[in-house]
Amino acid sequence: MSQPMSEQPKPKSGRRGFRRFGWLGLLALPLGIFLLALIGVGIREWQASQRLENELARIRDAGLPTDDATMSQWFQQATHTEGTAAWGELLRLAGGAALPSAAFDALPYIGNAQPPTVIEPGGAWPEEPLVAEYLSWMRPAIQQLHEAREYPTPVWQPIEFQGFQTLLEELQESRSLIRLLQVEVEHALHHGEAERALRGLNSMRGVAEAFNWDICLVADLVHRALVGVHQSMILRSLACDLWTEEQLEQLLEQLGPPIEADGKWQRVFAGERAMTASALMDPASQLDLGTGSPFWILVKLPSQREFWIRAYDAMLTVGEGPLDGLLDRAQALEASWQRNQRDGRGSFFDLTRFQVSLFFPTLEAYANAFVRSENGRRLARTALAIKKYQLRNGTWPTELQQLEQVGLNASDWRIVSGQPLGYQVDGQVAYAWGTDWQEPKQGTAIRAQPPNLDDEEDRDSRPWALIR
Amino acid sequence: MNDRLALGRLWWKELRQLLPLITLLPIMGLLFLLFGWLANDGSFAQALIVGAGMISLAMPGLFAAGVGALSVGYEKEQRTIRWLSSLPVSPSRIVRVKLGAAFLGLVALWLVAGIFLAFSSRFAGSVGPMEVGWFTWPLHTVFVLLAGFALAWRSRSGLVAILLIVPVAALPLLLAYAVDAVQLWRFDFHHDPSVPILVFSQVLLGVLAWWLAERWGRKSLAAETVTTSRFAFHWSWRETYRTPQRRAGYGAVTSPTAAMVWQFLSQSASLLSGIGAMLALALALFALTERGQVEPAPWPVFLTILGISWLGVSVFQSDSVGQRIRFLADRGIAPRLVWFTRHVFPAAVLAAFLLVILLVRYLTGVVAFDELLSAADGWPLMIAGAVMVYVISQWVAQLLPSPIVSAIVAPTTAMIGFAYAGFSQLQLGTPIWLLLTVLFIPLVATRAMTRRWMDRRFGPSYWGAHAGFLVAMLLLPAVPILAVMVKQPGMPSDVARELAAAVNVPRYNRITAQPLELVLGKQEEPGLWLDAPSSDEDAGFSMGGSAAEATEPPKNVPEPAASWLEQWSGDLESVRQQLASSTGPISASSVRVLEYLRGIATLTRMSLERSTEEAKVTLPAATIVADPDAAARLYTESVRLLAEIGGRMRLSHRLIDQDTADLVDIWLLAELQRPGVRERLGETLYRSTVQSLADPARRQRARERAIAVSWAEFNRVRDAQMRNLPNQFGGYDLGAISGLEAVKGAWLANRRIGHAVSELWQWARAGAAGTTPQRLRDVAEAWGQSPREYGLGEMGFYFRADDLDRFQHRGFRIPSAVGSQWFADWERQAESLATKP
Repeated sequence: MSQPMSEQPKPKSGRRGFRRFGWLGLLALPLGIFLLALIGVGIREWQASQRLENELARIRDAGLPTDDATMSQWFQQATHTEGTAAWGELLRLAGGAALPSAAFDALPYIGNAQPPTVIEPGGAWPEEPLVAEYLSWMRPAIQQLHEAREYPTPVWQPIEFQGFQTLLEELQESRSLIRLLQVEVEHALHHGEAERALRGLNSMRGVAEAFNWDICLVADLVHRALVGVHQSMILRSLACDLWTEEQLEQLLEQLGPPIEADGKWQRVFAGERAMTASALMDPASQLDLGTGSPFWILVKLPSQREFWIRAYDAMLTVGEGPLDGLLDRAQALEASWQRNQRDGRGSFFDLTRFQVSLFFPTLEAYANAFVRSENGRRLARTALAIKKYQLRNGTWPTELQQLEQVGLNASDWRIVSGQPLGYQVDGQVAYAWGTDWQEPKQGTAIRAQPPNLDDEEDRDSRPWALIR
Repeated sequence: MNDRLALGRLWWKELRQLLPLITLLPIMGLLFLLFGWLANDGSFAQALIVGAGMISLAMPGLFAAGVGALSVGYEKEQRTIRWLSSLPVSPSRIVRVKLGAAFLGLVALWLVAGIFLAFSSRFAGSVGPMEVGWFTWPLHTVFVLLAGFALAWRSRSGLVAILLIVPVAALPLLLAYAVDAVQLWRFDFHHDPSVPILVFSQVLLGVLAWWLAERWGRKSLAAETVTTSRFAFHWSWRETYRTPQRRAGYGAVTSPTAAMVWQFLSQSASLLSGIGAMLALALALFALTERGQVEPAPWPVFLTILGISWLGVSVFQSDSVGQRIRFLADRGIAPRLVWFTRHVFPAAVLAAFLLVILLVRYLTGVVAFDELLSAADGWPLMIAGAVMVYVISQWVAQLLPSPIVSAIVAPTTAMIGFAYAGFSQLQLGTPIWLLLTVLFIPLVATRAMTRRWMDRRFGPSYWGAHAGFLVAMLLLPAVPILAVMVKQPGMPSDVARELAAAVNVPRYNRITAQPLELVLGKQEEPGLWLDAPSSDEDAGFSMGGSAAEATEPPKNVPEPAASWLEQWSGDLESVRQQLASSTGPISASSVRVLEYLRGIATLTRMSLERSTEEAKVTLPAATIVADPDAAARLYTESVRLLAEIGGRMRLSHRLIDQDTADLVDIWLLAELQRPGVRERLGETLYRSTVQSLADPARRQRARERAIAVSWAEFNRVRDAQMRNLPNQFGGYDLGAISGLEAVKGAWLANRRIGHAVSELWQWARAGAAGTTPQRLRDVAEAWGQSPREYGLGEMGFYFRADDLDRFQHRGFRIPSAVGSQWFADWERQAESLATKP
């Protein structure tokens, strides 16, 4: 039998509050924490927004670019306009516009024709008449290229900066200039014309210097490629037994001083950062993120933008320090981005950073290009010095240390990681070679044997010089 | 009652009962299509491609999952099941009629899906995602339908039946994996099971589900019996809790709020337990994925969306079951209290779930505690998404009286909400803060309508008020773009009238022919015009010069060109023949030919400038020296062809051809001003070329016509594409030139284009006299270009041909800025050159 309502036992006062509100208290706990977390997120975004503004102001104060307009000014300050018109005309001339399609198969470097593995002066070259005709038509352009060497470099060209969408057409077309000069040098070497070849090589270096636009990664990679072509043609020329000691000196001078890795790296990534900042202001048009990607929305958040911009601080520091450790520093930074990605599969919660890191420049590849470029320069210097030694002494040096007698430093005949370059004398000829292209961590190992020139794979696996 | 008549009525009743679901699902599919259409800038084809998979696969699937609960659960909710069993129809027949009606509905929806797929294949070239088996999926829907009925008969509540169908639906797949594992001794979930095994599993489990549906159905419709289970548990705490001393509201617990929360929990216990299990499973899958023990898959996300959506549904639907809410309404419980107490537990579960989601990475040891917020950068988006699913679902639950229909419709509606949010972001450019604000509207709506919902006053004003909230929710994200549209000037009406009239003005002599694209290497017979040039008079275009001395090509066709000279002459002959083949305009896409001609002209001129003697001195004997006579002939012909092409480009109605013609004219002008060129070209060719360059009236007509016709063509294409923004204007790629990618939506883009075209038209009409720096700036801004392209700013002189010595002629590549060379000083210089004797 139930008790009347008035006779119900009264709860103890101490527990009354909990009974009245215990339910709500328990439920309010996650809600409260959740609201606190939400507020935390909001504060974090606001703080990130403030920090981002301060960071961009700091960068601007340091005279570095932060958007398209400042990028344009920065580029202008770092280049010269005296040779703009002349180089512009050359770009249009050498752009292959007037190259008949049928001639494409006859030309090495410009077309599909393969140059001989080793230049044999006066040897058989069936396409030589067509090459000579091409050069005769291009002669005024080549002459103009030689003359353009006198303009101060690097040379400004009209570029409309639009973040990642900036077109660097002039830079890309600069390859056609160096290819034209490659044909010119090849032809001169074939005919044993040392002065013409030397002038061509000098202009090749001129092209590389004219387009030494260290404003972004692509620009510097093109410059590295132009320098690499120049170095490879010098190595190739040594098979001709053509140069005098004086000419060898000029070639050594053309190779220039070692790369200023630190400053170069800093400028390149300062430019990259500005392009990124420009893209972040307008992610819809500059980043191909796919329709409906949550990333598209998230990159609008200040914290994401800050993460992106600050990532460049770390990239800038990679350039600091000796060239020897550049590759390791780049690899370490890239690994830190991928630390939580577990084989690149990503996380449900890292909706942006994994994708953001996809837009980051490939540091390791770029560092490799740096090291490869410097190793190439050292190999070219060593090969020239070997020839110089032979001209001076009548014999090949028995070991690379002897090159100190012709003015080479110990660091010149070693690659960046410290190992000596490959060197071997084989009868009347000498071989010098560098590190493998295909090696995962380039610039760390030198094979014991010179490349087998009859084996295409082995021949193309590393830079080399056959010195006569 | 006549047996046949009773059966007929039963069939009719069942079909009517399923009608809301059968009609609602296609409507939802069409809504998807609508947002797909809007999100894809009005591209219907793209919307079909996006919607094909969604509608064709999801529609029958959702129906199969919900029909059992709707058909059977509804009877249990409305307490009509006893009435059914009292009919003079056997339980087996009732069960079969229900199943039959459901099968008919499924077939109808598959037919709709099939028609839709055929339609989308016809118009959009897509038949949806082909990776989904076209046989196994329909078979699976049959299994799900049968299993749904079995569960609905077995469960007390339709909502619980729907909840249970989620794990049950995976059984055929799990069985197929198990069979595959045993058969192949392969325990790998990364490979799909083989199709025959999957079909076998579906058929086997389908037959079992059918048998159970029949059995449990008959049992439910049979006379009630009281059974006691030998395995029944007695929950002592539950009994204690139900004692008068502990009963909420009457005994020790005196807070009405706490009592109502308790009451909500009590009546939703099964549903909330199921949802809790789903969310816990999702969390476990998330955690395993974070630890790398499971490959990332969509299942945790699917479970999360479904769980949170049903959490939202639970807010109001547990009160709708059996119209329990009337109990509270009749006792005058305040609506705010009802609203609050219905939300507090689901909201707390949602908050706890999102917090644990955040902690998963810490708990699984992936990141440190202090890195939680910075490492889980997707968390804010996850919160927004989860809250959106929850608030939309609770709204649906209040709107729809049936809990079962709500449970089916709510997740789909939440997905439509996602689609709309995406559309707002992508097309309307809605700021994130505004989207977050919009999330509160469903909460405000349900709070405001709780009293009427409690009183079951579902009159027009109830629906009207909800419709008002819906309109507000849809319109608010569009407010910023509407504001921009108001500020964004369009095309003034007088300009629009002038442009419309201009298309038909006889003096513009509209050429409707498509501009001809010239190509290299089109020559059928290698001509040797250098030896025997032919006439170009038949082309209706005479520039004079060497080509006037034409003769027939030689009979002895030489071997394929070996020398450069022959190849160049052959290619020039090819271009000449192409030009002679028509009298119509030439397209700017002939850029390769233009560059080729310019290259030949420049190289040959440079070769001529350096005398042969000088070359012989400079070059060693081994080097071939270019033939000066051949160079002179090549130079003349290439310049003549360029002049002809430039002139023919002026006939085009496309803006891009006019601008490319400007570049050709500028190059020709610079060339003609070089010393010695007049002599090399010959007086006739030189004079005719100069006259052509110095004809401002012709150029002006051509430009005005190009603007008017390009605008008319733009509108025609837009109308033909169901008002979808065309990609081009006058041959220019709109995305590349005017920054329209940054403009959200086709409507605004249309206004912007209209404004840009009117700026251009007014400039063209104003002519050289009206070309001021301010106008150039306005045109640059309207077309989204840098002012430098129009010669403004520090380095502007490199971009605009005012001073030809400093202007950087970058060849004949597609111009980057519309009309950037209009009325520049080169036009005056050309006129000045023409006046020189």
